[in-house]
Amino acid sequence: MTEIIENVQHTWHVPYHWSFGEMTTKFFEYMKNEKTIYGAKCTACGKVIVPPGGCAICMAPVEKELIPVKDEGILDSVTIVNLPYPGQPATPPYAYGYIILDGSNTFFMHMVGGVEHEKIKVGMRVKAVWNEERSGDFYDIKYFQPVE
Amino acid sequence: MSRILDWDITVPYKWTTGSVIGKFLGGLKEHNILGAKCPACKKVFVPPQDLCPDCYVDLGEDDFVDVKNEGKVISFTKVEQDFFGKKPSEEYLNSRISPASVDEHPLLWPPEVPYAIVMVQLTGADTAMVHLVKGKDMDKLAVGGQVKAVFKDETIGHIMDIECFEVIS
Amino acid sequence: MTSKVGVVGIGMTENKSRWDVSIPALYRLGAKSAYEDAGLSPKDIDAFVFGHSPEYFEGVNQPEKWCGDAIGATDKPLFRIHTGGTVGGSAAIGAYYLVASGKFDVVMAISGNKLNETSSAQIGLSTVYDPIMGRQFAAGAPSAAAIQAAKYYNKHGYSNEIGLKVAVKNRNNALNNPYAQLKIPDYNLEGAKNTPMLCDPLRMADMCPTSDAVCAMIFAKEEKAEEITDKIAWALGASSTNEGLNYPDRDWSKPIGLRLAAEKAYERAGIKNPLKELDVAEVYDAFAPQEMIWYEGLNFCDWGEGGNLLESGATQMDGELPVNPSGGVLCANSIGAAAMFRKAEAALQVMGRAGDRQVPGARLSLGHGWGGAIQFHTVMIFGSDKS
Repeated sequence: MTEIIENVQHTWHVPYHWSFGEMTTKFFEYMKNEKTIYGAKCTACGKVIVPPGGCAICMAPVEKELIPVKDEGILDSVTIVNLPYPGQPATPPYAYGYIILDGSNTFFMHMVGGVEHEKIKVGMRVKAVWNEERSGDFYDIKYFQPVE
Repeated sequence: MSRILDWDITVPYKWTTGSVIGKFLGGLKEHNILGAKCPACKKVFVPPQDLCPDCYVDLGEDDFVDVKNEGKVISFTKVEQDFFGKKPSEEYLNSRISPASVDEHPLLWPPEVPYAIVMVQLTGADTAMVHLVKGKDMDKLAVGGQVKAVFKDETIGHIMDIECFEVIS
Repeated sequence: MTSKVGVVGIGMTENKSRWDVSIPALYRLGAKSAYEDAGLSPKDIDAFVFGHSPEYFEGVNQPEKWCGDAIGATDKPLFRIHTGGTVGGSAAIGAYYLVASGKFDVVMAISGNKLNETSSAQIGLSTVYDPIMGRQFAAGAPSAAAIQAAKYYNKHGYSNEIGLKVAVKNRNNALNNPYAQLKIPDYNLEGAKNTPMLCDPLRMADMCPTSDAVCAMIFAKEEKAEEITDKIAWALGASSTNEGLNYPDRDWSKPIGLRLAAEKAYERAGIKNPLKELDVAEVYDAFAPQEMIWYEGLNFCDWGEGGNLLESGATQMDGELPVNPSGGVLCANSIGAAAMFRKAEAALQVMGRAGDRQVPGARLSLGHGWGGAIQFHTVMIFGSDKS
């Protein structure tokens, strides 16, 4: 009797070169060099988009110069992740959420740390804790920590 | 000047074969090439499919027939250019797919260039199958020529249980 | 010149881990089930609309190429549609529009996935986020839904447990659905509360399973439909939206895009008060709290009132508007087929063919889906009468 082979297993690996574009390149440079978060201001509605990009509501151009926003703001939503899966930024349990930084109108996704998980509440004010060594990516910020 | 991020998408998979492809692969494990014969139009498909696309009739385990391990070259091309670049190390792959591992999910990667892709209509089959010809045999390849399957000593039930095809004439 | 369009055949495969069939074979089963249901064969179909969600779930790019033969689309027009988790819904709407345009008489929409073929559906899901900004946190779907739920509960003062009540309702409904994956007898709130907290505030009980399945629907123009069968679900209205990813003041707990799409669909179907006029609805509850948010988006109640509507019992099987008699996505999620299952279940209800999960006398139904990073929404309305 010919055996029925039930499955075929392999790993598929595809390398990519992803281009950031001018605004995003500058955004990460500012994070690395100045420990400052920058956004783009819509010329029509005046709202500030962070990370910088076009205004999806107005479809109008944004101002040529990026605008710095504060590295602190309100925690709009948060979750404590207990579920493990590949590619996570940290080993569970860890907290991450959406922060509306002072001066911006969109949410900024990042980790929340330096505090016991039970104390984390939606609506609290949080501030970025920057790493001394920075390479120009989101992890230049270690996490956002609640402000007393 | 736009910054470029060099990264990759690396994912392990376990693809289900089903009983028809499963039986074909089982045949390869035994150094046999099997085809599936449509009960309606009698065409023999190698490799087999779960159904006959012309008649829209199911093909099943009972529709299998033996075909010869050799056949006619319908077409071929010699691949000179490497498209895939540097092969990632096992260590790197394991770090990306953990807890899965490369032992159970070997990297899917083409052979080293140059190699030839050949379409062979095995004797007894009505369709052509795609496989490889390597080394000096590549220079002897011609449309209409005969080639024969060379099986590996260790077979697992995989299309690459056939190491490659060699040119007979 | 648009034509009246009806659903004349529905195909479903049972949602579960399928290690017995390959991807095209699974599609074949779904297509076959639809052909048998309608008494049709591939020669009767003028075109196909193929769904299937992100390719990284199975690592096969352009699966329609591999599966085209298997569904009977050899030498026929085939269109690929892709909107993440609501691809099943978009494929159904695509097929409906093709027939309504008058250019095709009979069109099959088919969509599915074999989620179990990757070691982790979350790796596949992480690839839908852009590699520059979005992929840093490997948010996957549970974390994203958790963020949405946390905002919703906090904003409206609902307790974290209210989502579990949705889970209890839907899991009990699923016991009547032969195609559902999760069928847990005696499912109750106490049991749900004891499941592990996976992504606060979502517990295991709030989450959907990982299924392999295919769903198919055959749409036909009026004259053809009436020749094929007498149990027709007339497509009365449809709409969809792309809500945008992160625009100023975006609030994930308030799906304005969905409200706009729903209103357009209601207008096309002539519905003024959905809660009163609809007899049954199937909504895409991949995560339990979402069901309440979709009540609001679909205008069953005002913004913020979703939890109250649930608590009132209105969406139970014996309530004013039963929601998810099939058990919803919480009990069966193949992603690719899930949104089409919602449309198909809604169609079955008005055809009177929903078996043990039938809402008695249902004549007007709604099927909803969402996809992407919760931006795509599709809404379809079916009726037993042509208008």
